[in-house]
Amino acid sequence: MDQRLYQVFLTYVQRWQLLLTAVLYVAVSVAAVCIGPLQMSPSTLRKVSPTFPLPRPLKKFSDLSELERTSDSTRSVFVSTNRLQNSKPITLKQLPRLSSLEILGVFQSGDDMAILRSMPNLQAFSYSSNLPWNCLRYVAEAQDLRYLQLLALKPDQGLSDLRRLQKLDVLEIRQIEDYRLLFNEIRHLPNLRTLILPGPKATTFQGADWEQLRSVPRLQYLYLEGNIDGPEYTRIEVDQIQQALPQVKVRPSPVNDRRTRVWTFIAFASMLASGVLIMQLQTHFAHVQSRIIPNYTTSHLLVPIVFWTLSTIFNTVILWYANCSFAASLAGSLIVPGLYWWLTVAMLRSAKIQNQASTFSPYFTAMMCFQVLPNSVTLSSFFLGDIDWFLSGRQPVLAWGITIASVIAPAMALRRIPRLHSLYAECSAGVPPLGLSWKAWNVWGKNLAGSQEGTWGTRLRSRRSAALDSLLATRNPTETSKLWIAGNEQSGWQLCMRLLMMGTAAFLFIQVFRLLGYTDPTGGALLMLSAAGIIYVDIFPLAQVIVWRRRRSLLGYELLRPSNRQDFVRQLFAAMARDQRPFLVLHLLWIVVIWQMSTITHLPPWMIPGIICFCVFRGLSIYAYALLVLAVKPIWIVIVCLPIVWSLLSFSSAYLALGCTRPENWSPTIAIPLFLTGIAFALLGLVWIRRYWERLELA
Amino acid sequence: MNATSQTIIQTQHLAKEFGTKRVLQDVNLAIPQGAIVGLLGTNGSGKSTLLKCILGLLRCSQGSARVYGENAWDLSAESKARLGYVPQDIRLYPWMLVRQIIAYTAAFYPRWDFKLTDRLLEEWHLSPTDLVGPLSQGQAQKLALILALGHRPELLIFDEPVASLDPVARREFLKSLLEITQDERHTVLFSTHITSDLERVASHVAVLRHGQIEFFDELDVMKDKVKRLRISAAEDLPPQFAIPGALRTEIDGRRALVAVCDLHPHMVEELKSKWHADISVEDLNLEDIFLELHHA
Repeated sequence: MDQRLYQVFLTYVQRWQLLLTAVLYVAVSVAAVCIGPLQMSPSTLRKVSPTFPLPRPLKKFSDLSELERTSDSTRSVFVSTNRLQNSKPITLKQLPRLSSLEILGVFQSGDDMAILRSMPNLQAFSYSSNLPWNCLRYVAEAQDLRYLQLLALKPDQGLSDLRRLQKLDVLEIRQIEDYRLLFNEIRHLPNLRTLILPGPKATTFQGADWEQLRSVPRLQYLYLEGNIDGPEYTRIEVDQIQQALPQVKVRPSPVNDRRTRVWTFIAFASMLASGVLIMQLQTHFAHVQSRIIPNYTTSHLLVPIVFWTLSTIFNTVILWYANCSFAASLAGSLIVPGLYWWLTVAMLRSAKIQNQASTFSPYFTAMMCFQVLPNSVTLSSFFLGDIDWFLSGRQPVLAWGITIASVIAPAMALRRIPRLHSLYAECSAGVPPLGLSWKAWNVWGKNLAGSQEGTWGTRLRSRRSAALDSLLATRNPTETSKLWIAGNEQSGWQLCMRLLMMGTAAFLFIQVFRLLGYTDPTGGALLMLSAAGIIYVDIFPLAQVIVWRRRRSLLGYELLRPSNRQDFVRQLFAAMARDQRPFLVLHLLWIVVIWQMSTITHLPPWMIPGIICFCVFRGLSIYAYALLVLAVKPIWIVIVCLPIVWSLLSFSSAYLALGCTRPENWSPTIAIPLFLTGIAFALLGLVWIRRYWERLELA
Repeated sequence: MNATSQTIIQTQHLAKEFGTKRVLQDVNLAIPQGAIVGLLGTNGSGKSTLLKCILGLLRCSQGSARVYGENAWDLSAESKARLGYVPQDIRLYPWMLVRQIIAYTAAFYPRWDFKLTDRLLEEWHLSPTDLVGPLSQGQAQKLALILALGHRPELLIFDEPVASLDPVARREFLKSLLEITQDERHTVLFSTHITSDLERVASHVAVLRHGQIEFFDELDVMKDKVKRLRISAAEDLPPQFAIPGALRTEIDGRRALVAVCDLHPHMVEELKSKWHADISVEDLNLEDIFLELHHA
């Protein structure tokens, strides 16, 4: 058994894609923890800020006196002490390399604070107690300071010294008696980009206060909540403050941003790793040996199950560490593996169903309802600007509900896994299952033709031609549907590329819209919708056609009689349309989800027709592209140009849809040209269809 | 066929349909232990489908297929460990080295014969350090055969095992097969188009036609049964000239060529006296028999 597991394990790690993905997965996950949402260097933030509960510095002392024994090479120190009297007199040696210092203790006088003078390279300073009287001047002597966190500031501490911190990037003050004095000073900080101000409540600010904040030259972020105390804000209050500071991104809490960031990275990495693992699993079950070799199923399932268990624990810990609620952490960690288990089963099932000449089955619909719906809710919430809606555990019922659904889904999928090999075997009888090679396609074609069996490589051309002629002679869309699936090859590279495209497209899309300020739930859900459109409606079928042509599987097309070509393309499109039916259901489900969410986000009801138009528009564009891929030579032109055209179309349509929901962030000067560009491309597509229709000798 | 020997493979009224297309119907087959059965049939006759049903790769639409007395669809791990299979379309992990794929496969079998696999690798000129992906079709087939033989299975099922092999490799494969099966404990079922190979190794022949077993018996019995009569009559033979049990009749004036199944000596005498004809009885090789059976 050990030897068997070892060998199976080797099959997983021998593929460098999987190893690379695993490395990427860990790297991205760690990066998710390390990268803060602010502008300071990640290392600095990680070391100094209690707001960002990151790994503590390497050097950790319980008494200031120990600081004296610190080596010159130390760059970061965390001192946890209130026993300062034991370490007096402080005669610290110079610590020129110290760049960050966090002190949880009491400095009783200016002499104590004077230790900052021995740290000329200090960039980050955090002091979690009341600052001694008139001591801010010592802090201000640290001219390179970029991050400053203070518990409280009183007017008698010489606030004007703050002006000397010309490099200050992030300022966090948890309590302040007179915020107007502070605002007056920070106006003179040219590099201040982030202000964390948990109190007093910003809704009490007056017009002049906003004016002062607006005059801070480079202020980009205003965080309103701390992670421990301070006032809480409703969404409406945050929106009101945002309106008062239109140039600044107003967020409730930096913790919130951090959670979002970590969640995004975790989801992306998990999606990639799970996808590659599923790909490998499919490879293992895609050949007949899986039915012949004894004890095959258990051995090959154990490795991914162990991996997923470990990754779930890993992700849960990271998310929990990033201040997500436990339920949300667990749900977020389980959701992607769950989705992939189900996708695997669904793909197999789909292949089986295709074999029985029906793509759209009650099973598929049920799968969509049970799995995609909870996933879409969660993943939509993952794109929310206000991540606390889900991650912070403010919706415990939802978080636990999704967790349970996420556990049940893989469990149900697992129940079916032992039957996968038989499904594959059944599929291989009439239709090559997903994962077959080009050669296997020919076997299938040969079987279908039923008259030219022979050895490999001898009569491939005639055999392919005969198979296709035979197909077309039947004029049976079902047969073409089989042909379509046969073209749906799932070699490791292709699937890897698809997953990469899927993950990258979704990730980039989100980031672009984040940059544009779309952080509301509606925007997030719409982005999901758009991502779904990209993934399912555009990329998959196009990839299939491209793969067909790249692998010369369409050689048979050129051998076809011209009279049969028109039938071929028509039936090909019919098969594509059937393939897309389940995904149309997916779109509709998403619309329902968004509609349901509209009760939360005050979504205008008239956006629904916009989304439907969006879906139809996207769905139709695929046919033009498919024709282009079929006809244009050389193929690389299409491969290069297609993503550009596709991106423009996607962006324009998504932006159009977003405009329906957030008019205040939507600019007609951007939307109209984009929309017109989309229309232009659509028209151009029609012209191309006309042109290449002739080239394909279809006219 | 030895009636006392154990039946390894048994199908009863086996039928398999794909949609509305019936590929196999009412297939009854009982293969005893130690038999080397060649499965013959034209393209589309259902050979691969029958093998897949026997292996449990396809579920029978009707009837049953049993291997070692177990339902083929639910074979136990013990039974699987006793059988080896080489499919028509060979799919191996392309990223593995030859020795890696052997080690991987060996891990699933308690009694893997590394000496045998090493010897076969050497005889068939396969390097253990070669990558599987770039192997030619023939080399991949050799490797698949090695993987199927490595655990010395008691039941071997091959779907056109030598189709991609060159004549030298084919001969070596047949030689190895004979060596492995010489103890009469091994049972082999294989489909092939190369009847000369089948004649060399097979003890039994099954002919599949239109999804049904048309003939299944020992090879020698088959050869004894099917004969060709070369008739030269005194006068022109009528168009309706027919002989009981004739598989194919070719008439050309006074001459006729008739392939007959179950020819009895008295039948020849009757023909001689009835048509005043000279009749020579010719033995047929397996290829001729196959062609006659399919009216070629």
